[in-house]
Amino acid sequence: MAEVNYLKAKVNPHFLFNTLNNIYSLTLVKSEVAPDAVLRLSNLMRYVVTECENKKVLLSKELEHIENFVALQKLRLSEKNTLSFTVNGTFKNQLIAPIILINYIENAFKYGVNPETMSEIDIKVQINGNDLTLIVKNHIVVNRGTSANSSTKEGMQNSLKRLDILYPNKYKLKVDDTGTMYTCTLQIDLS
Amino acid sequence: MIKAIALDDEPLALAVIETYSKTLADIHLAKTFTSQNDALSYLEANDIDLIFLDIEMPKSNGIEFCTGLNKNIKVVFTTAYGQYAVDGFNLNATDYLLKPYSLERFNLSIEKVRKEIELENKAKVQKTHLAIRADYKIHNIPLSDILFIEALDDYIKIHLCNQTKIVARHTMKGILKKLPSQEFQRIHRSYIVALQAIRTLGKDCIELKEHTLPLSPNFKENLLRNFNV
Repeated sequence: MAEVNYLKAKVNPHFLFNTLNNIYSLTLVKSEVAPDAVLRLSNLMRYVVTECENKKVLLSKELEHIENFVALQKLRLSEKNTLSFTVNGTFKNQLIAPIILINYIENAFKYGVNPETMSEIDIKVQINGNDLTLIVKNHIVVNRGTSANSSTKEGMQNSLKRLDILYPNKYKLKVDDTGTMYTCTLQIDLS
Repeated sequence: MIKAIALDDEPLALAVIETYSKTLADIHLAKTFTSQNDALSYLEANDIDLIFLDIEMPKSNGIEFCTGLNKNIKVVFTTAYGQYAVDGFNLNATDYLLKPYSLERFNLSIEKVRKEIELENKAKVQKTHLAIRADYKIHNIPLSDILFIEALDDYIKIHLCNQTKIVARHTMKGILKKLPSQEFQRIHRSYIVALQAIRTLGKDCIELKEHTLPLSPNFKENLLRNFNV
């Protein structure tokens, strides 16, 4: 049971089954995008079930994981919701605690995607030696009252707890919430 | 022919329903929506038998959406994850599909919808009387005799046109289900009215020949749909 909860914390079942449904839909209409989506989901799941056992993983792998996640989320988007994801800087075998960034990106998709409202999600990762900066910026286009808000709070608290344990005094988190726009800046000293 | 629409915030999920619906001769999937607002305005202007409804949506979830729907519309919930199953059935959803689902499973849902519609059609044809137990008798009341029904805690009082009143142990919700929805409607927490008995409709009250009943804003919009002014 503990292991199931552990897994759930890393792969949201809603995300998993919606993604499977999207892939199923792609195969049903024999879309050319389907094979790539299957590979991305396989890689994402493999990362979660194998790499996450480790205390630290290569930063490049963690970012690959995020890239897979973002690509799969892209399947959900309508033309009203735009997305940019950029990584700047050089990888030099830096290490990072696994699955520490994904929470912030998940939330951007959770609250920043709505086929009824124009919105933008902008994810930037900057690597400068051992300094990592993640900036996630998104419009808030989902009614935060009705959505599973408590699960978000819990997720954020868990993520903060992990940061406190793994990077004590070595991280900075800034959240700017205007009600319509959410910007979250996370800086971590990976050394 | 069953006229259906589908609402889901994920376009690919709608593609599955479109593909499946094409394989069935008696399902006409009139339109699909990613926008709840668009679906609502469509529903206001069109008669629909069935809606496929996603549960996890950005504006309000499918269950909230469903509570605002005309009771005659059959609902099949679709969702990727099971936590809402119980709520779905509490709202009298016809079925509940877990994504991804097969064509066979989809067909089962449609079969349930067909059966429900068939049963209702039969009931509609036959329904001229309301049978209800009160003071150790079963009363067989002609529907055309009923003016309105009043709630009294655990009881209801049925007011008939000949001044008779029948008090029975029943809930408002339960009695509403036994009445044809095109002839009787809830107008207030404590009142159900026979549409044909209404003489005037005011801002917050309804006048019958000899009674004035309160009209609650919650039910007003639904009631107004019956009167094309």
